[in-house]
Amino acid sequence: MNSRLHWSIKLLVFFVILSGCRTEAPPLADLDTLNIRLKKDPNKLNPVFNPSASSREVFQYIFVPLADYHPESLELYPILIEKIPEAQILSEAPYTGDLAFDISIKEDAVWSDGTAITAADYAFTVKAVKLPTTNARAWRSLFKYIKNVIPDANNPKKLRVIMDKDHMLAKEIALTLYILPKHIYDKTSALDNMPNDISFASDYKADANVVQFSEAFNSTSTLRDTLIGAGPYTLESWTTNQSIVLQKQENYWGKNHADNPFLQAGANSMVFKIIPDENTAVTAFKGGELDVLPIGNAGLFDDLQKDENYKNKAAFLTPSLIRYYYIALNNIDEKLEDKRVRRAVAHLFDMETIISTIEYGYGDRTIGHFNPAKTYYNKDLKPIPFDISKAKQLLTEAGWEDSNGNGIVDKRINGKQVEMDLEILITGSQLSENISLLTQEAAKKAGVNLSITRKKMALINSENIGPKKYNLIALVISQDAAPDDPYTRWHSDNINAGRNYYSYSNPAADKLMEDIRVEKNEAKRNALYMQLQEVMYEDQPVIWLYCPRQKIIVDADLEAKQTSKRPGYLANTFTQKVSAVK
Amino acid sequence: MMHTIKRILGFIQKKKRGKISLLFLFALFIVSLLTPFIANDIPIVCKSKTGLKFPVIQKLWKGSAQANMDCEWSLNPLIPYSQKTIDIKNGRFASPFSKQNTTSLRTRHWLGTDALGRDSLAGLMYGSSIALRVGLFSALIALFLGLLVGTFAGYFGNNMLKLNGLQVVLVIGLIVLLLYQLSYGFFFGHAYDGLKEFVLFLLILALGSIGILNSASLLKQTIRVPVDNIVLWIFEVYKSIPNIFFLLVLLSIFVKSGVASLVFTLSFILWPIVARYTRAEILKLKEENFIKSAQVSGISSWGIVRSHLLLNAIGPALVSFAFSFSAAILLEATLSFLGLGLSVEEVSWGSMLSEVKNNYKAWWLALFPGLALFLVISALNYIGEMIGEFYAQS
Amino acid sequence: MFWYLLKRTLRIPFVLLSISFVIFFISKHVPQDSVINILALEGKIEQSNSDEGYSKEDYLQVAKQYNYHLPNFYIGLRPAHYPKQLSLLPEERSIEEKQLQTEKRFSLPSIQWNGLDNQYHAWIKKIISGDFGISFVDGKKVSTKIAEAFRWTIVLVLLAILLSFALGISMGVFSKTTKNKKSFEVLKLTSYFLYAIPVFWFATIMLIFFTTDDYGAWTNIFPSVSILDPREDSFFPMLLSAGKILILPLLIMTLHAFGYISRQMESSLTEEVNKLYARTALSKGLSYKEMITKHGFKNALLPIITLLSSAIPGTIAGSVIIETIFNIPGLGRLIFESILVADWNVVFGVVFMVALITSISFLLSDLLYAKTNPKIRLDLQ
Repeated sequence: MNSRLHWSIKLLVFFVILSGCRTEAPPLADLDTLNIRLKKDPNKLNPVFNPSASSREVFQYIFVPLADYHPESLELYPILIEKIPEAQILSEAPYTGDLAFDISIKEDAVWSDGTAITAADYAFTVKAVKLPTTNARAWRSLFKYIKNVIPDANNPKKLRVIMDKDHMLAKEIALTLYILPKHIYDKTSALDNMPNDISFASDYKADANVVQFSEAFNSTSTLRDTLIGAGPYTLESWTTNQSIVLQKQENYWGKNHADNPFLQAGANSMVFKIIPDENTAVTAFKGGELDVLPIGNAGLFDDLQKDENYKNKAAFLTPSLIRYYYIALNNIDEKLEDKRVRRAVAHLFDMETIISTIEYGYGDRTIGHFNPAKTYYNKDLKPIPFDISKAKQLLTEAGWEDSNGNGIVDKRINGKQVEMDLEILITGSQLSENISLLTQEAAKKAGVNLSITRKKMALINSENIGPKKYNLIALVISQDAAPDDPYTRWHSDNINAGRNYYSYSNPAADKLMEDIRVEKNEAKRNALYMQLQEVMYEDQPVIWLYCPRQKIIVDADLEAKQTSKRPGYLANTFTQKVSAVK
Repeated sequence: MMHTIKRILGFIQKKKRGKISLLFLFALFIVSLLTPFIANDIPIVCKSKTGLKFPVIQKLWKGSAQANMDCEWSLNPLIPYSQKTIDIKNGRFASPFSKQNTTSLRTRHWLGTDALGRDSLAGLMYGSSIALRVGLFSALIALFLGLLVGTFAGYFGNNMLKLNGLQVVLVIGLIVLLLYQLSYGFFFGHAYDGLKEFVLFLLILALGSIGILNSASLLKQTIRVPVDNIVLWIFEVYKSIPNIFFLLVLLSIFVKSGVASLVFTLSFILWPIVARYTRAEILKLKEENFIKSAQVSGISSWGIVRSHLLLNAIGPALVSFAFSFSAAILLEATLSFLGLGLSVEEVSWGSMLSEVKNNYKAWWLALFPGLALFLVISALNYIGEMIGEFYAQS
Repeated sequence: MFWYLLKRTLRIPFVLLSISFVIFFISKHVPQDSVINILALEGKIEQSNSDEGYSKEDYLQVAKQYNYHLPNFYIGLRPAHYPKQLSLLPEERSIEEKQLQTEKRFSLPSIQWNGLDNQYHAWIKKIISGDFGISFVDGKKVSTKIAEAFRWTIVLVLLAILLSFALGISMGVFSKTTKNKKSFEVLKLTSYFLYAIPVFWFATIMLIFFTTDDYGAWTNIFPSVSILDPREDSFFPMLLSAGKILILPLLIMTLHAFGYISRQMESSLTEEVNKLYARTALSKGLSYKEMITKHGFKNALLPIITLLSSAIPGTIAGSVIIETIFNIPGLGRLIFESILVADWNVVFGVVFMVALITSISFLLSDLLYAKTNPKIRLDLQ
């Protein structure tokens, strides 16, 4: 017994010593490794398969598109191609009126396995995406505007792309796509027999070869493992829900293009650490485990910024990304079908207080679907102010009054007494909880009973958005620098099958959206955009809340620039400050 | 019964810690009852032009009170905030010691605020009512189910319950009905929408099984039901499945999250503990002479169970009652901490603690609810132990 | 003894089978759609939680591929007026169900036989052949995922149990044998305190206050949470390099269990001391300490052995909170995350794993119990 006691005490002593060890000072963030926080596992890293935001945060260093918006100027900027080609309007049949783009791929551009990038890869990608049996359908609806891809007979690096005249974004579609190496993903050359101008009929039947290709192309290996791109990094390892490691390519071809921000290679390796919990992420940053920490919680961000300990240890970036928070309204709900009611509800959101208190000032108000940074944002329209009495007045105008003295306004609809009981669905982030709690209080004063339900997004999709049974849902929309195409989200064509989940329908708005789609003159198009914003502002099909600022904390030893492009920084351009090198 | 409880209370009070624990729980109980009158944003009594009104009582009764009142004079609660009152001027986690944007000492947030400026003291007080409600009701249901199953298994063992064919069919029928109700709810409304109906259904089921038991001795006996083995089997399955599975899965089945669904889920996890203790005790008691003589003298099974066994088995059941009480409170807090469990509007100790995740500088949100949780749990555990000791000695 | 062992071992598969019924039945009632997860996995939609719609054909194809069009079980139970099969598409199904429910408020159940062509049968057949399928989240094999997570849990749980039992038992004995009344009281209170303190609160407070310099340099005692570097491909080098992150969680788990075990040990000893044999031993001239170490200890250990067997599954389940807070990729976090996203294959795998461990540890504890307790040994023979 005595010896046993002795043994356990030894263990105790060992344990105390073990736990008493102080953490070593965080190692100097040399650019051997750049540790970046990722909020959740990206699930897949192939850009042509419906990539998610967190997936884009990682694969943008493995794959690069032909051209992209420059992080500073936000103008279209060539990456894999020599220069941005000008559109040529064709006059001969069968492409009369269509647009042609003559693209020449950079001479030295190669895939990460050393093979040259050629026109054949472009043609292959277009066919693979168009092919109905593949799952690469992210851009399928846009690729139908690519009418033909004609490789240059003499130069494998040159090609001509013919775009349909009917889409305002012809140039963007033709140039900002990601292409995949044909020799990797189509080893059997199954798609070679297909002509480049193929368009698939709805009853298309694939032959055995193509089916075999599709199966291989759709496999998890394509989505997660076999990632051959032209970006400066390659995938080293990936442990689900833990981390993703990217390794810098040796002898990268992009070294010759050092001024191109997309082709720069900084740190030797990038480690994306997947930390869902914000507090844990901050603790990890403090412990030196992270160099780049994108964070959602404004309070934590503000706290760290004010903290004397970290003033000199960290830089704080707040780029404004092109996205906004909004409250989806069900326009065919009997309570919300009147636009006066929708406006009344909009008056109940105290956005000034929400931005200043809950978001610590990191947000900008917006009046509609288009980002305030865009040239065609309508500055004449003022955000709907927080005004309970105005909300009450609008409700009264729409026929909602408290007839039974229970504090909630009501109205007879089809002979039935309906109380203004609204339910807001949230997915459970602290931010949406706080916004809805704050609004709940204001709504009560206006005689609107707002209840809050926490639900998973997948459930909201299948139970509420799908069957169109909901009142309010707190959601977010991310956009990009290209000119907006409001058709997919707001046109009445897209109510039943498309993304118009709000069932918004206004013939005037529909007409404007159709016109915008085919208008190629920028000034004229901008005028249409302005009009559309006015119409939609009047209708308030949803409540536009604000554009949140991205909040990124970066190790102070790093030379880091912010950008409006998602995710707000380009980690491959980060370098170490000279002063920090010992 | 009352006599036993008195004796137990007396026994616990002999120890200083026992006395303190009892007093603390009692005080907490009183506080949780009176909270709406101590911390609220509407007056208790309001004299308006139309007459005397009692808004707090009105709100408790009807669920809502008139939003704006013009009072000539009014009697207001000591703390002018309820747990839901948003005081956005003092939002962003005002510390108890910091300069607050308030007009008087009465309106000061003595224990600080959270992101929206909700008063921590009011939250703490309302949280106590949630903790006690969740704990008490889960433990009560667990006690009821546990006693039922434990006594059943312990008393009948593997040999004593003999049913005839008709009764077996009836039992199987009842089980099928239970499954049917669970899946479709076609007897008493959709099961997950109406918890009340479901509880009623369970009650009918329980009464039905007791009825079958009672008639067991009357009819011709043919089939022996190994009750004890079945129950032991259930215990083993229960023990082998991690609790977290039941917790998360059951909670996600309920459409509306709230105290009721939480209570149901927690009692579902806790009842086997009570049942196990009860069964062991009944097994021990069965060997006692007075039970054997009762059996010989021809008293019905139900009579023996009711008048002898249950009364004596209540001791260990009470011990596990106290422990499941504290376990339920702890589980509720843990779930709220993980962002599951109660609805968004509810403020509980766990949900206050989870706010620390968003601002770890807000030590007051970590300290006070955590301390309250700790005190309740240790008080309940101690009382449980003392009850156990009481029965061990007597 | 042999027959007893055989009987106990044979029970395990039956328990596992019952568990499969329970979890399968419950999982069928969770309103979350695995098909959406698979659609996201296959790249047919962006992510399972985006607001993007899916095409009906895709949905139906995946649902059929994963057997969701089959009936659930061998026997079916449904209201008499329900059609044989509801639509597979969730939107259509919810509309159909609403309609059927409003059509009739009351309906008698009808029972039908579905034959072997059902979801449960297809699933259990695979499980029995050892194939737990793939995770709907990342397409990895369930067995690989569990094996990866299990390594962490086994290190954490085994160490925590070992430490807490060693410490707890010795503290229990110490508190009973010490003559120093004061240290006895202090120990008792400490263990009480450690047991009653909520683990998640303890962990959060430790994490906030003792892993950074924020509250003065002296508070930076423990390493903060960390993510493992997957470039270490074998487990042990990884454990060595990242082992420091286990210190704080281990400490918290150990202290919590320690409080409980030392209390149990002490009360178990108290019981033994009051027994007749102990008093006889004392009257024979043995010192109190000798009596406890020679006789009492062995007997008092018995209930602790049962504790040990239930401690293993209990600690695995309890490690959920710790693993979530400290970002440790163990079994607890795996099951927690998998349940939240309805990744049933993984959930079933983990539950089976834990159930198997539980069954085996109960078997072992029964044997141990029998070995140390002559009375039980006699009964068995």
